[in-house]
Amino acid sequence: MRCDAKKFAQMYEEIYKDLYRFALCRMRNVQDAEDAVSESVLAAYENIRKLQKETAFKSWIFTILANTCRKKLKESGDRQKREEGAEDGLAQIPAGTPDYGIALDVRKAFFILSPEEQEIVALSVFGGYNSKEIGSALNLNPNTVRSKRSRALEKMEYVLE
Amino acid sequence: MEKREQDILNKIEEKTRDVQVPESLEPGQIEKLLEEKGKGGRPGRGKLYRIGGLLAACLVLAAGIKVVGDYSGSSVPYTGSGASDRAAELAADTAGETEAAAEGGSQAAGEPDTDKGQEADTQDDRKTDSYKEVYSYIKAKLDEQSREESGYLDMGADSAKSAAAGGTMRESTVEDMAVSTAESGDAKMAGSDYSETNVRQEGVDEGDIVKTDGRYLYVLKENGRQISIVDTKGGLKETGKIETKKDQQIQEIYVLPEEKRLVFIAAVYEDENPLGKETDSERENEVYEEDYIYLNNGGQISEKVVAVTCDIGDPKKPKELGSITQSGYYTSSRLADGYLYLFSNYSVRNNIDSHRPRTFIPMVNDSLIREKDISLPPFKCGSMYEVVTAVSLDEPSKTAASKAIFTDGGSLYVSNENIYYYETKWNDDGDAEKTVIRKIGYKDGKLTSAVQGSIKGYINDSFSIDEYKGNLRIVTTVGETNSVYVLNGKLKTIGSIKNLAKDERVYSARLLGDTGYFVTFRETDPLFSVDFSDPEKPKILGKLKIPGFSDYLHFYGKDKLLGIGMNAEEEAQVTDGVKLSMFDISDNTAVKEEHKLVLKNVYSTDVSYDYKAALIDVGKNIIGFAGSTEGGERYYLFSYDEKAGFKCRMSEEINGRSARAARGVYIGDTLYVVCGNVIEAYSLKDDKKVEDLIL
Repeated sequence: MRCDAKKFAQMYEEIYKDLYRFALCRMRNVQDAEDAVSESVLAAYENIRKLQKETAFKSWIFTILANTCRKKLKESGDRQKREEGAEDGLAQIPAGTPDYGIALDVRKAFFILSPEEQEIVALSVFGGYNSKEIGSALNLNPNTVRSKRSRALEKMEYVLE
Repeated sequence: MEKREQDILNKIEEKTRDVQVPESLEPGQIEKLLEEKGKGGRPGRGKLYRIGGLLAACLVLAAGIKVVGDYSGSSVPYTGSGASDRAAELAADTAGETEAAAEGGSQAAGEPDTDKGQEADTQDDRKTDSYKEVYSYIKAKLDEQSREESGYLDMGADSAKSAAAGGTMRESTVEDMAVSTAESGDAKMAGSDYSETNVRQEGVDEGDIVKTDGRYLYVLKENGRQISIVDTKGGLKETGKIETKKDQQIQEIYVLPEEKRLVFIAAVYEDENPLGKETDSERENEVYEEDYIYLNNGGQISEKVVAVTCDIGDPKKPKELGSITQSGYYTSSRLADGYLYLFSNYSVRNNIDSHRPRTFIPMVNDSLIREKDISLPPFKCGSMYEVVTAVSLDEPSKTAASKAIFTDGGSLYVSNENIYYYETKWNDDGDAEKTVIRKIGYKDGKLTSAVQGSIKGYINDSFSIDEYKGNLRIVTTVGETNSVYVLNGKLKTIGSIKNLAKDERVYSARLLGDTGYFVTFRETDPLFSVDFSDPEKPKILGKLKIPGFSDYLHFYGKDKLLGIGMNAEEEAQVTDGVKLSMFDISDNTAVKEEHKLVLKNVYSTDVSYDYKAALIDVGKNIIGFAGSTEGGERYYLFSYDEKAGFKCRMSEEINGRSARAARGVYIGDTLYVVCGNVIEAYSLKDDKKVEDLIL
């Protein structure tokens, strides 16, 4: 579709809070979440010609954001490893905590999930997508999405206050 | 979805509702940022502050896209269908509807279905006689969908539903082959001194992203366009490569060491793919294509799958021997006795035309699948097929047999004799109503017609469905409880146990011979053992309760069952790390957890959802997999001793990066950890790093 910055911003306005919340739940801190969203926005804008229908905008940009987060997490994981000298000191959330921008129990609840489960849950909550749609975004069978989501939520239930 | 699940989703939503969005992401700021970049996709270099590692990629990508944009004007295949559009299209298509109705009528009145008559006694899937009948089924489905979706539109306020209506997302489903296909029974005993892909069923090979023949490694590169052939002898070096056409993305590889054959399966992005016209240098292409993957192929759908067979007798110069194509996108494949069985999922579009079968019948090698090879759906409509084709690797351009079955999206289990395709029907509350199973026999490239049966509940993964002595044993979760079923060769239930483990659900299963094991979980992990020796009267032998759960089970030599999963603290009910358990199953009425090891700092492993990510070899006594830690991905290698328990031999940072999971393979005394384009080699004698290679 043809789209200028103004039009793009209008479409973006509808969903940017959800995009940011999605990124917060996937990334390790506020800064990374902010970066992930702005990178995705740029990538989407650069490719907006590929998008045929405006109605498809939301799920398209969510897919891009999900992939951007995945990519950034790998990168930051690598970076952090080099900085810390690759010690096994991990799962505990480091002291002098960074700003998560999100309730700690929500943070923890996402933290215990596998990356894929995080995506499934975050797409359900913030994208409002059903298992079929999530399946096509993540290349999973809808049945698989359902069972993974159910497993993920079970794990989260114990952590959410 | 269960109410409990919806409640949790709502809770997360509420708890994050008041999140403060940073100023830089406010729409006004974004608009400014985009304006600075110039209009419609022209990259504005410079101004983009605050953007880290990916920026470079974005810019290159933008440059790539620009080429595309310039040549194009051509339609971008954005197949996501807004419901409103589809509804409109369908509404406009009244002529078509009348036609279909007329055909439906004449079909019913006129042509007797001979196949049906012949096979009535085996409750076969109804086979079709006429593309006309197929057409009427599809038409019915599309009409139903358009009705449903206009329903969604009326309820605009409901966020989930309206999202569904506006979704760009594809209609049908890709089977996650890693997850939902199945894999192997026993642990592989060391015969050859190199590892093979961890498969669901012994004797039935599965494709993967890394393969070895004992000397060379065959590695699918991150861009999905090349397979590197890496010689491991005398130091790692790339000796050859196989490259696909520009419009293809390789999905999986097979290597047949004795026959010196390599088969790769690729998705074909037809027509619309702009890459075909790309004229820039090779290098730019590559960068661009990686981003192409990352952008989900711009939402493109692969319309066709190709299976290419190559001669790798001379690894420096692999030669293509032939290929076949099939409609739809790749779901999975198997290789047995010199035949490849290729599965794809094909959805008809909205432009069906009763006079042009190509608009609604899947194609194999550019010919229509024969009418008699299409199994009609159990209900009066359908718009999606699972297509399977058998190909002899001696005649890789010919199809030995093809079948298509209508489906709403299911998963596969392939035993040594039969293909089982199972799909769950979900009711409106999101509960699994029943799972329909269809069975197609296969042998030496021949496929027999489908037999159908069904059970209550849903199947966790392909380990929960297992054929033995002609019967099919299944572990299912039914609502809040779990069941075990035994079905005979005609898929009729002959035995069952119901109402097991209330409020829990199946996390993993493994069946071997007359005994089966499965794990359910809610607060603790009962490992059930089941005696199937009398198929009509399966019975529970025992259950063992331990904290946490195993989501992958693997027989580990005599009387041992390995579980890989998550630990959970019994009091806090929080999973706190990946857990390895070794169960002593010598007395299957009193299974014991012999040893366990909790990796406190590893919060997940790919093995939980992709059995091919596991390297398990009883003969060599190694258990290897990648785990995610706060510091990134690491590769772990364990050995096991009855007395001393698990020993962590190796915990090494994985330096490659990939959208796909890392793989560990061994050749002789060397372990190769492959992730994306990076291969790292470790000696299995001292577990020290030997060398690495970046492809």
